[in-house]
Amino acid sequence: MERLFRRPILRTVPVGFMLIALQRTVFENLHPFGVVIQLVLALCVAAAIPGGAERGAWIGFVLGVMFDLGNGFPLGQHGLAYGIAGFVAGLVNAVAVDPHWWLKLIFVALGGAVGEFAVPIIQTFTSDGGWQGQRLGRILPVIAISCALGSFVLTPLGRWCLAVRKKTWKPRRE
Amino acid sequence: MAVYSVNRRRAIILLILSSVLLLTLDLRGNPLIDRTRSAFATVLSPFETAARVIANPIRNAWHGATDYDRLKKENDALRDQVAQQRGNDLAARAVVGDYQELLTLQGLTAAYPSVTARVVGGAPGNFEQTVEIDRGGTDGIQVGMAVVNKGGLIGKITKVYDDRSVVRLITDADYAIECKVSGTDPGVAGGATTAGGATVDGTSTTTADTTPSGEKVSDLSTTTSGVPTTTGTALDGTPITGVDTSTTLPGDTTTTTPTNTTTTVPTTTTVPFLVTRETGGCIGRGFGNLPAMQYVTENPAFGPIDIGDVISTTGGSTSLAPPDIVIGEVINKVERAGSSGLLLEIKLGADLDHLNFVRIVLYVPPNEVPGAG
Repeated sequence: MERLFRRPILRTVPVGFMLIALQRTVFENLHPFGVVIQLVLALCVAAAIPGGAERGAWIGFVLGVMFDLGNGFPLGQHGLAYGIAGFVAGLVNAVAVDPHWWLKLIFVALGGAVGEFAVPIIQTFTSDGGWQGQRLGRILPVIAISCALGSFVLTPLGRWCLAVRKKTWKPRRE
Repeated sequence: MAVYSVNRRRAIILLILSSVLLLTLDLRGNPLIDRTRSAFATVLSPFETAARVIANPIRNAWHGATDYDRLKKENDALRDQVAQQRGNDLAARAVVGDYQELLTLQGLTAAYPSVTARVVGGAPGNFEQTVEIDRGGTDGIQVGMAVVNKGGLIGKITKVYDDRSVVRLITDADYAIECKVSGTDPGVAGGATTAGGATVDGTSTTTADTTPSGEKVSDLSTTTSGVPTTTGTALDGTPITGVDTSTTLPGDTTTTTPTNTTTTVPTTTTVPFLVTRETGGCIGRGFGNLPAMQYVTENPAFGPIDIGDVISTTGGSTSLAPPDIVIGEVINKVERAGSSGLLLEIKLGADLDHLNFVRIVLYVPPNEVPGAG
């Protein structure tokens, strides 16, 4: 039974419901600098830091599909965008074995920006309106910074969702 | 530790393929996905209810902190505006308001049943312009129906759940609707003239700009009661029934038959008579851009298109909105090269930044009514 509850999907889905509900109630009314903060995206990139690129892509895809289902977007639109975001953020583990906190922040911000940038690109193919990323110059920095700041809270949550243990370095005994 | 390891390559390929598969299934229309979406909305509902309890104090605190200055400035600006407008004739300047009022009086929009709904949410993302309303399929709302408020057209329904719907705003880049631009006829200076007062269905109204003596009509009043029946012929030959057809355009025939008591203050009033100049397509152009009317060619036979001309829906068998819902007024004319024609930028009649209550017109295009062929 305990092993069952350690399965990432059983942890991620309820957390996803809560975050989407918060996104649709709290964050859609708060527009710092005219930008809607993306809480779900922030969790995707934050979870990718302890989880790595593959698991980051997985949680991004799952939460993105849930986001699409909850908000009436074409299914897979945010799944793909957030999956890419998680993948990019998780690459921090490929460039350093035990990355510094500031390096993690950079990759979280980068992942968030890439994920948000991917949304209008995908929309270009899925909607009739053509390119819709006119305000990206303002949106991307705000999203990147908000993801980076949110990662302090969301990284432990993401680690729990993915059932990843925190790395501990034990001294080698002679 | 290679960045492009096999596992990573496999993960990203799997991600892309899965997403593309889902997108393809959804965009082609899949009942299973629709059912999943409805089930998801049902499950999400209690989470949202709980989140709203948390959200309210946070939202109030946020707006208190961030909007105070803006609201104060807005309040000051509005006071200035009220002071400036006091004593002016609102009807002469608010063309859109006039037209909307006339349409309502004529019963053009009122001819269709409608549902009033409250706006309960905004767009969850940064690239869509949508709002969510608290009425859904159980109230008879269907995808495509037009959404209006007192200012005019707001958008259309794009998603319907049992108890809520999503409205795509007219400014969204995915929005498009057939529309027409109408202006006052230059051949009839100032519009049509009615002697003896206008006839209005059971309401008291002031419908004029000036009198022959040059007095402001706001100083006079044309009060009527009763149910008049007015018939006339417009320039394009289409029969009109309603109020403002009692015009004296060349070649027009007009008869007015009051069927009830009509009390009229003996004044000569002028009612702007709007003539359709051109039809085209209205499109949203995304954040920061005014919606626009395209496929427009100025035809001298119908007069020039001027700033301030009214843009409204055309209706028709395929249009999602009934005819003559006001969209806004022309605020800018953009000449485009080649065969692109004129682009008319639209100042919307409705204020999309402050939506609270809206009305969904329960109108289905004639060609989509079952059994209508």
